Amino acid sequence: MIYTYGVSLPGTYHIKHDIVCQDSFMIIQLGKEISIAAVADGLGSAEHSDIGSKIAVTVTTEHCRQYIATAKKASDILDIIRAAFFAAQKAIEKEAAKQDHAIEHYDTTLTLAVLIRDTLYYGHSGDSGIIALTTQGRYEPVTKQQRDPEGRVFPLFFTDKWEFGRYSEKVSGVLMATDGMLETFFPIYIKNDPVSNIHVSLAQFFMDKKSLRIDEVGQKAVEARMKEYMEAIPDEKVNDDKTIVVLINPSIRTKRQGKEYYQEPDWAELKRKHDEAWRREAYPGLFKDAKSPADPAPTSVSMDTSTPATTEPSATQPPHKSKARKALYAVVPIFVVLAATFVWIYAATSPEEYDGNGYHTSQAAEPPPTPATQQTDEYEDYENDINPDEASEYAPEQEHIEERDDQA
Amino acid sequence: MQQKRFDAASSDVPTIINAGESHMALVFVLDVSGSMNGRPIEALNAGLNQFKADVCKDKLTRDILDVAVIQFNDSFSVAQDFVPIEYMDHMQLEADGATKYTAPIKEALKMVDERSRFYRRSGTEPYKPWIIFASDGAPHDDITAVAHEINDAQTAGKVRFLALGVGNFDSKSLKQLTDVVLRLEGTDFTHFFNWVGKSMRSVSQSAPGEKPPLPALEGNVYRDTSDI
Repeated sequence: MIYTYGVSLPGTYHIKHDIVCQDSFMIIQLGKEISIAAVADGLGSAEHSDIGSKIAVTVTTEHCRQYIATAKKASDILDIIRAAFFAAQKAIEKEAAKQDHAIEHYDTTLTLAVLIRDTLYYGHSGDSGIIALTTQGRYEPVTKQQRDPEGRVFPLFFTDKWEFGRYSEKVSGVLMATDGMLETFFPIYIKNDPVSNIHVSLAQFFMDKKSLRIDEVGQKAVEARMKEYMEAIPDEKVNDDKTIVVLINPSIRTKRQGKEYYQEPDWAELKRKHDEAWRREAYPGLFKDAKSPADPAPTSVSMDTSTPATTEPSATQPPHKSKARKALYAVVPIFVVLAATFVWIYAATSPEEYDGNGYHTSQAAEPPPTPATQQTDEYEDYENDINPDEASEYAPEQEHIEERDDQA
Repeated sequence: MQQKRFDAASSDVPTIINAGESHMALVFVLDVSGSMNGRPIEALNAGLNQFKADVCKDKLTRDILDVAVIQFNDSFSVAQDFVPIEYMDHMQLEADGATKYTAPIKEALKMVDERSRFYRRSGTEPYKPWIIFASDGAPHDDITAVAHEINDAQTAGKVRFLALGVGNFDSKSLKQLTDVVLRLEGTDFTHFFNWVGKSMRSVSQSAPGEKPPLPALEGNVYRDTSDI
């Protein structure tokens, strides 16, 4: 059977500011071989986005539950998922119209997964996402966060951004998360690593059937443990709403990668390298050896902290004064040469001696200006206990400047 | 709020690593025209330097804030390129010349745009950048086009532009630039920079993308409500 669990917690920022949890999720198990799950993250800027997200997950999963059994081929399943997205959109529109609200007040993301034995179908809109555990034993991102260049998410109503697909590899596990939790799987220090950009041991913690002992302790116990873990995540790591949904099919044979694949990287060293490279690019002027922002970072570079900015005042000339000074610097040498020539001629032709004093030029101070992993052929134990007639379903349940009285 | 602790039964519980680090760009665009000469420019320098000292006391704000300073009269120069606030030079601006707004504002918009792009490119979550524009006079150039640029950038959520009027400032021009125009009574910038520092702290305590509440104006700083 496919095991499932889901946890949704209000973010500490939401609690502090008395904002409801705007995340929603829904899991529907259809027999032992099919799981349908959706996560949605109501946009913080949208007043009724918690309702929008709830409608989105409810309508899409229910639509899939009704029609997925009728699918005969992969394209049928994708058509059903697409239709589910349209149905969610319509349902939200209807609710907004009923309440006489603008549709934007219900903005939400939506990510849906249909796991049929070892095949993952998905629909995706926004910045939530899916991670898969492939039968090769690797944890891989399936979707990408959809945001504009300013970092703003494209919500469900950007229909042209919708993505539907069948994941190219066979999978034994699927994790879905809204952005707050999703981003913890892709720490900044490895985000751009071409080999593996995912925090493997974290993904394993949530998705590995062995460490979860899910078939031993059961779904509810795992869910409770994961809830406890997510509640303890410090504010500075995640203060947004936190939602995770996991689908695990323990009957699917899954290879194990080499040990090093699962080991925690040396985060301190990764952070040090990242910070150094970042600061070098961000503040080229602060590095003694920086020639230009494009310079490659040498292995050991330190910021020039020898002259803390608080100590010696440096006069900052107003712009036009600087210009005038530059012009003066250009004229002075010409004048010096002319004057020297004149003095030389005068001295040569005059009976009096020239004492040589008189001309000084001063130099104007310039303004301060990833590791390969070994794959083994070791397989997880598995059992082929497909029994399609069991279905269970459960669902978890401002900018302003304050003005003083004297400022009407 | 008390953070719960996860009772790890085994040592295989992974630590959550920073998903991304947040930064915020703040650019001061400061009028150093002749009319600022004397007490006003001295007070402006003192305010800027005190601002730095105050912000550096708060680790959270210090860690996220990158600051730059543009000075302008009838031309402009970047007195301080983006640095972490703790590395900001001691400011000793000098005043002279006339007043033109367009070029320094365009430069500031360009700088925050490039900075935001850099943050994103490098995996850093950016807060909405701020541009704080201060002037005590009226521009000698046509600011219609640059006012549109500011409006477009603010509408697109790319920047927050605040204007501070000092002394005999031209209220009409500043209101043409932005809706948020503050007025400084006298030439003591202490309360203004104190307010900016508090605002930065408020921003640092929020998440990028959120609209943090800003502190109340204080001392000799007022919202400019004059008719134009």
